[in-house]
Amino acid sequence: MKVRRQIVVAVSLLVALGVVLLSGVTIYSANDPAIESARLTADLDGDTKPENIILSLSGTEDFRRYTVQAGHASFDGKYFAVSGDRPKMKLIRIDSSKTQNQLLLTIPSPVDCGYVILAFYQDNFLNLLEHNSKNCEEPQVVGNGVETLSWLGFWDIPKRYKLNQQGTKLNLTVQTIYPVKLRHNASVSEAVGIAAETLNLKPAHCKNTTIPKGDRLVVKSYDQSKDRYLLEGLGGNCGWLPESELHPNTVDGLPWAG
Amino acid sequence: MTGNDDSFVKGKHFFKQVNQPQAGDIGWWHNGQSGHMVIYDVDAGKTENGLQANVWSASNPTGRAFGPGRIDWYDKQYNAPAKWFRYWISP
Repeated sequence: MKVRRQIVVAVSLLVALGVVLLSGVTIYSANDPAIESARLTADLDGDTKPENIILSLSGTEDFRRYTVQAGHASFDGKYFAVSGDRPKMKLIRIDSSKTQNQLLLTIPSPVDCGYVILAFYQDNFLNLLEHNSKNCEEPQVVGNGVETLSWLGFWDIPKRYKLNQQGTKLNLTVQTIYPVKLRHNASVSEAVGIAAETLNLKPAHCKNTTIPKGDRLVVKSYDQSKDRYLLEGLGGNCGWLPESELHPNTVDGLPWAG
Repeated sequence: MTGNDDSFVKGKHFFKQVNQPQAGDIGWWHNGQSGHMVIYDVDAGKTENGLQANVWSASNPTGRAFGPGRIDWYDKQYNAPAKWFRYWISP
């Protein structure tokens, strides 16, 4: 009788396991626990009481899970583990006039570095900003905000975000014209190219809008509102060229793709 | 899309979109904010963790500059499948 009951229990367990497997529910085994990766103690919300912040990692697949915890609050996401890189966290203070601190997470991905900026408000994490950088350039604290660099084919466009009064949101600062500067490790900061064909440009501030084929030129600025570049020839001619028309067939010698 | 190679004839050489990739096709993922491109090759060798690779990728800036990768990595990263493009000369 006892043996029969054990068989019934065993079969029931197998059936239950089969149902779970067939329903696609992920089973987290005891062999796959979260492992603490980093720990910080800091006052995030500015209430003078420090939070214990723990970054833990779990999983065994190519993409694994990271979790940031402070008290009952948690924030999690996936990261790419094949290269052996691990997520990192560090403390930043976006607005030096305030007592709040934020967390900057660096998240490995198969193609670039992901960055997440977290605020801690009313015992919860707030995701202030997500940013990906091909060159792993993390967001920089500038004034009472942050600046990110995003790759636009041959240069990085800098975008600035300002922290709101409560410290709960990063608002993009609207800017129309951006000066085109090459990355800091380029030999020259100006984007110098050669007209691959005679360029008849849209009028800008100078008189002559034609840059003859073979002339050297500088890509001076980018007008985001009209998606166009201001080109200036060494002879003083200048004008606007639509972004879609700026390529090696029109302007040669720009450092495309870095 | 046209290139600037001397042998590349404007209006004659293209990349056309295809459903099933073959060796040499270009895979493109984009989520509206960032993107990535790879070259399809079912014999791309082994990934860093010993799995069979099926693309070549300039993948991870903190690690290798260029090497074997897997389509499913990028599908997961961008939460969508790739668009595949094949070099093609118009008849």
